[in-house]
Amino acid sequence: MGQVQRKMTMRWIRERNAELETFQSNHDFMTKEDFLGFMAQVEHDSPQLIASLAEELMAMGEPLEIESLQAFARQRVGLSFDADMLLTAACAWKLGRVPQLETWLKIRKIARNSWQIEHWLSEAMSAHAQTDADARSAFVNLAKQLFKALESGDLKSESKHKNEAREGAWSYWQGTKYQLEELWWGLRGSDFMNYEEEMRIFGLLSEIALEEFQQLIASSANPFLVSSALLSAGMGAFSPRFAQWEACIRAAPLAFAPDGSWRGSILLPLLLVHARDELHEPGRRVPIYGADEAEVAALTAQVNELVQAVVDVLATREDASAIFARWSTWLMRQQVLRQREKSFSDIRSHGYVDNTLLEAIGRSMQGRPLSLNTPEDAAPWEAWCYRCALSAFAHDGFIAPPSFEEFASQWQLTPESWHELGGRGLLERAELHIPRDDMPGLSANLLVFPLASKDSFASGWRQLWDGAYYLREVLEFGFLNAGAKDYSDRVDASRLLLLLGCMGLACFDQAAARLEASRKLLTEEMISLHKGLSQAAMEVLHLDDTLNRDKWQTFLQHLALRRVYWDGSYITEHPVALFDGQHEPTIRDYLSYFQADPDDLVAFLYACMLNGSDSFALREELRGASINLRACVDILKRLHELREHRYPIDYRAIKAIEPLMDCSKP
Amino acid sequence: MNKFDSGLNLPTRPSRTPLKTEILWGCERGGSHHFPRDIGEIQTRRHSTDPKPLDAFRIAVMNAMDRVWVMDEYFLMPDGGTNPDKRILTILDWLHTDLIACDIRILTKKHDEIDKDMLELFQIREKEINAYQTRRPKQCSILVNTCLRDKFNYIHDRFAIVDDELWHFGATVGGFHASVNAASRGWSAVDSGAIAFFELAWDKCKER
Repeated sequence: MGQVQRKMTMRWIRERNAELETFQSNHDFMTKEDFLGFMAQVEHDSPQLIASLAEELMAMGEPLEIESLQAFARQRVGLSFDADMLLTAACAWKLGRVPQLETWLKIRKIARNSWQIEHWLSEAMSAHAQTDADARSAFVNLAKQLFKALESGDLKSESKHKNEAREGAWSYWQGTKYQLEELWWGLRGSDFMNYEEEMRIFGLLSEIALEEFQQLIASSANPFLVSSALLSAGMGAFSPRFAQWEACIRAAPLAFAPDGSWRGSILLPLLLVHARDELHEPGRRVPIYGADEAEVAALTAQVNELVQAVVDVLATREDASAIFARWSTWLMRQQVLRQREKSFSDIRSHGYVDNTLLEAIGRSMQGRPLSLNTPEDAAPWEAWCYRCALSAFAHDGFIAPPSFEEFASQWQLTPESWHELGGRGLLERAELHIPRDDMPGLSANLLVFPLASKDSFASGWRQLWDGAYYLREVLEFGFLNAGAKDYSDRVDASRLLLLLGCMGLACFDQAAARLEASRKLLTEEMISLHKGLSQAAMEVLHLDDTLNRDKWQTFLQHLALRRVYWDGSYITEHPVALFDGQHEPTIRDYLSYFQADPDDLVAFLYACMLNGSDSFALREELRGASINLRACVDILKRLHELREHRYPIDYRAIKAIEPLMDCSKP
Repeated sequence: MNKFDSGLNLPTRPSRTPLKTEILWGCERGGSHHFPRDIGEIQTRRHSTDPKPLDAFRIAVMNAMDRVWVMDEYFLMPDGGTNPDKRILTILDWLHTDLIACDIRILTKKHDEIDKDMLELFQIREKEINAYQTRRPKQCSILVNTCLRDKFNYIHDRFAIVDDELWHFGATVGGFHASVNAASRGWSAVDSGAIAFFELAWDKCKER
């Protein structure tokens, strides 16, 4: 009962705040209630006035200028009634009697010249429909006619610009290969106002005949028209209503087949886009810094509740599993593209809503039939984003981890397949997941999760790396048949290899997170994995002279930092040590490599200090490696003085590593 | 928000030089911090057959350490469509054989006046740079993509990124334009989102 009650009262956050907003509260806007009172008054004082005025309006020739219409209305009634309200009521009355395209075209011309009629007409029609059943039926028929005429292109806008925009949007839509993706993007570039002349009539239809409204939009293939209709019916930027959204979700036709393929129905994806937008909306309203923490906490709790309500409504549908599969793929795409955010874990974080939706979807996926692969109509990027979503669900304990073998097999390329389906497909799928500044990054963590959760992850990663030997061939020699233009092949190979490296690094971090609980089982694996990763990095750094080389240097810094962090001699904060001093590569090995470039050496030591390394142990290590840190820093300073731009210096780093220099004095 | 966060972080590297914003006007002296002062100066520039580009930009490109990215439909094409080879040769002078930057990308539109052989000059210069500096840790890559109009027709202004610095041009990147126009520099290419935006445009223009 409680849950039923909760759902009945569920409202979007903007809906809850609607009374605080001044929209429609100005005196220029007349509501349905205003018209009910007005029409009753006119009927009482001057029966037939509205009807006769309507007939005369329709008989008037052009131009239909509002000033002359207002004067005409005043002549008929004197000053006893508001002329604009009277004209609006007359238009509504006429549409109720003659619900035809011709009538509408004439009234649309009148409305185009009058802000009042344009904005009040649907309110007047709503009032008229409430008191006259025939008018109600007429309005339903009229709305259907208008919708069909717009859909077929027979009903044009009064604005040439809008007609062109409609045609352009439709033409773009028809030429789009992955239309579902275009819907997920929220029909970028289109303007719902392209249908503003008729859209209020669709809002009226949703109010007086919701089922017929639902049937009408469900049958349409024009996403721009449906989007405008939804907007006018409380599913968009204006006056959003959760109840209306829920009713439409329940009535929307099946959008996906059991294998996840999209059936082409545009309604459900549009409704999901609307829901996500509403969930994001509160996060846009609070300032990121200096926000009222109590307000943020309250809004975050409301968003959590709404997320669960959205997922609960979707879960009732026959195609729920497939909806969750395709939508979570899109939500995951948003997550993997975001840079790491550490500052907030509430609605101020850009990824909060999508992450909460993914968690709720994962919970709801438990026990449902699960498609392991993406369907044929999916865009290339979807395969790995779906894999990431499944890994996220598995990480949260909702499902079993997906298989890793099929994923690993995609990396086994040959000279023949590099420029064919195998190689090009791998590049397309990997594009969104190539590591950027954030290493190893969310993508690498999710892609490798099925492997990382196994016992023998070190040998698993090694097999993956060895199996991708041809990528190293391409990196070193270029593609066999590329001739002189092999550079881009080599960059591509380096980027893909970096993703493999980051997956290994992520595997290490995931194992480290459970090291305390399973030390015996994990220690040897992690040491072996670390060794394999450092060998891989050194191998690539010997080969790679592409733009990607800097990223491999950063990757090596990450490995070295972990070597220090998990060494028993350096860190006293965590109870479990992984490495002892002799494990290869040793810290001295890393120091020897970095000292070739004083800038790299300083950056590494700075990272160690920032992450809490023991300065005494590091000093001893520098002494053991015969590194005169002060001399290195002096070289760096001298170079910086000579060519500031070429040799930048980070004085924060110099200051932080000052304690390591004492022992290095000659 | 990343549930896999290890808690270990590398510090961010500082930018090469402190950025200082300034605005520059194209003029026949190679750039000015002031609007043209009289009609004579304006007319001299307007009627120049070879308007002088901004020295500040030329120097920035010649001394670039990491990247030179240009986003401008008319970067390679002089006003009036005459002598594109001269414009290209001027730009190639900036991309000299001692250039240290390794990531040179020019995103522009296709011009009928600029043929394949002219664009090939950039590839020749790339080879010369790599041959001249045999011990470079990273090979120099010069890429010219002429699909900006066809594949990413959303940009009005013109931009360039030199290392970590964003330049904004009212007319042609480099200050080649003969009418009164200005450029500003000193914006952070990272903080302003310029790097991510350029990569987005570049990727879109790369698509087949």
